[in-house]
This record gives sequence, C-alpha cells and structure tokens, in this order.
Amino acid sequence: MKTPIVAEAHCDAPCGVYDPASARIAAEAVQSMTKKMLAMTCPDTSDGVAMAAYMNTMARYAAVKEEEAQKCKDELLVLWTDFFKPQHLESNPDLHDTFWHAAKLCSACKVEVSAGHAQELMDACEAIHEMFWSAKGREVPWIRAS
Amino acid sequence: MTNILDVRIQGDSMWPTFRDGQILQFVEVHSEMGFESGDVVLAHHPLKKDVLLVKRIHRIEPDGRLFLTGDQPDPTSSEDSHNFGPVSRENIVARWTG
Repeated sequence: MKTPIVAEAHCDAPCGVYDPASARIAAEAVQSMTKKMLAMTCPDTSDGVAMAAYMNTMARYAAVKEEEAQKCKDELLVLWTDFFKPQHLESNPDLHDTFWHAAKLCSACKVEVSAGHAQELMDACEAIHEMFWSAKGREVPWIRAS
Repeated sequence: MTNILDVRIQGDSMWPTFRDGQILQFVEVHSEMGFESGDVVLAHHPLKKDVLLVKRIHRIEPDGRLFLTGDQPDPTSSEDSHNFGPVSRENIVARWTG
C-alpha cells in the first residue's frame, strides 16, 4: 500500500498550546495564601503598630488569594471551552461537571478562607490534569510546586 | 481512468464523521466532475500552498466557489471557509468515495 496523503483537519487557531499546569500553579497559590491566613495570630488589638502590620499582611494574602483564584478560573475556562472538544466527552462523561465544580471552587476560595475548599480545588485541578493528558494520549505525572 | 488516493486524516475537525489517524479513499477529480453540497473533498488550502485539507462542501456560492466546513460542532475546531472564505473548484483535488 502506498503511503497515504496527509490531509489536515485542524482547528482555526490552529491548535494552540494548552497545559493545565497554569491552573494548578494558581490553585497552589490560593491554597498557600489560605493556609497563611489561617495560621496568622491576631495581635493585641490595642497595639496599633502590631495591628497595622497584621492587617496589612492579611490584606496582602487576601489580595493574592483573590487574584490567583481568578487566574485559576480563567485558565480552567480556557481549557474547558477551547482545548476540550465534544469528542472528549466520550471518554470523560463527567468533563462538564468537573469543570463547573472546579470553577465554582475558585469562587468559593475567593469568598471564604477555607482550607477544605482550597484542597478541593487542588483535587479538581488534579482530576482535570488527568483528563487533559489522557486526551493528549500522554502519561504525565501530577506534581506540585509546593 | 479513476485514480484512487489513500488519505490519512490528521486532526479532529471532521469528527464525528472521521477520526484523527483514519485512512480513507478519495477519487481524484477531473475537470468535468460536478460537486454537490454535502460532498467531502480533499482540497488545497487557499492560503497555504503545501497544505491539503479535508472538508465538506457546505454550500456552493452563486459564483460557483465552494464554501467548505468541518463536521466538528465545536466552533474553534475547524480552519475552513469561515476563516479563509469560499474556495475555487481548482482547489479541489479529490472527493471522498464514501
């Protein structure tokens, strides 16, 4: 048999570079800020200097948590709507539910200072990592930077 | 004489009709051959001279040019006439025998 002619059947971008690592790094930052906030001890409220430092640090942690949670959501939404295609639902029937749940967790992590939801967000990112690399036909181990 | 071409699909823009890696047979077109909406064709990319595409003829324009689209329902999944516009019949190399 002759070598077949190759016919492109690609996407419009075409085929951008995607990696769920971006979402995972942002989720790790959310979890890290959450842990730091929960670990802080409120100083004597009559100590103005100590209170200022405490509130400044807490505000900075909260700001980073807010920013990284939004970044995580943005990265997840790009994967969900751009990388994953209808055919991926065949092997991942819970794909939509997983992403919807993960995006909701990003919001929950903004609203709350919840170690539980921060861990659930990491778990959701891991599930998406597995779906993504499975769809690409590659075995890529789940890793954390922290 | 009918010339049959073996064509390997690369990508998912024709999913669910064709899958990435599938090998199909196309019949080489000749100047008298007519086309109809719904035909799946092998075509030269109008903007990339070395690239061959497999797409479906979505409609035939009043000027005779062909509006080619992928079968994939995802709107970002197919580089086709939505991007590069209708193509002339001279771009068509072969038609799927299926």
